[in-house]
Amino acid sequence: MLDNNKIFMMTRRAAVIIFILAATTVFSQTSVTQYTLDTPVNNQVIVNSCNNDMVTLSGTMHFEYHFQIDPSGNTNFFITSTSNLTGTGAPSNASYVGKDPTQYHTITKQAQASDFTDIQKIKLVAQGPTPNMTLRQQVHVVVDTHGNMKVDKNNYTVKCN
Amino acid sequence: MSNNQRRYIFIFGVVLAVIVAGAAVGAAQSAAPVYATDANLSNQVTVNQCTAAGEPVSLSGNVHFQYSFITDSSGVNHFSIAVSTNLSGVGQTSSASYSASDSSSYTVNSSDSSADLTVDMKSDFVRQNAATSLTLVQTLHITVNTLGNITGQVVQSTTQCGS
Repeated sequence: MLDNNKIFMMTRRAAVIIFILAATTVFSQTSVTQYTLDTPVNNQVIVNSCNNDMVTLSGTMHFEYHFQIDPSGNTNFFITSTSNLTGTGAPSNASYVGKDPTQYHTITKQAQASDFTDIQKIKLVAQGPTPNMTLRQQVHVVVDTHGNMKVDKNNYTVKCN
Repeated sequence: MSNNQRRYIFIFGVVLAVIVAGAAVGAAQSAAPVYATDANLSNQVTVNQCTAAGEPVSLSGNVHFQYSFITDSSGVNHFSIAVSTNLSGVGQTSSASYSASDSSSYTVNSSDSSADLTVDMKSDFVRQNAATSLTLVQTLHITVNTLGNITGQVVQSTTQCGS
């Protein structure tokens, strides 16, 4: 016959094992996979209408997203876009820097992909007295539940400010 | 002018009138209806991140949401959404005036009969007598559907400090 100490030890060991299993199960259910995509910007030329500077932009537009199925069965896509751009103006030779985060949350039914466009506004801050400007770029994003992400950059305009 | 010529001219006139009328009706039918709603802000507080102490700014005004949609031959709905803001603000410590007036647009393509999206809308946030560049970032929750229903809500307002 087992004494009380042994029963206590076995019960405690079983409780620890159950706890670890439960915690692992919960963690695996709540952890989400993050998908990323970097869209390069290579020598995109825009004009600062404040001073007619021709600015050559380079850098990346970084996109990442994850999705979750809510209790209603809807798919919630959480998308973040971060632009990191630098440029040099001619003839001013001034440097421009643009760093801009944007977030989206879209909901679709029946695991349908999310397909939307936005006009992203990226403030390009100029060095010294050179006026800043805002790049308004249309971005078309398609993401799905298989980890596929497609981003197209379309029309853009520039506003001086 | 002979009777035949008059007859031809009359028939030509009738045909032309029918074509013009048909084109007008077609154009009226193809123009998608526009549905709208407004979110009125009254003293919603944001913080000016360009100030050292983070000045609270009380925002008031209007955020206008409107959309239209078409359904293509594949049954996909194309929702076109436009948002415009017209806001003024008052700094709670400086009493300085602020203003933001801008617009943006979004599209959603979906086989669903409704679309639900939350986006960051950015506007220049101009502070009276200030050289700094400030951006107002409004988190907007928008729902639309194919029945002409639209909701628009300003979930929160924050700021980004430029130069």
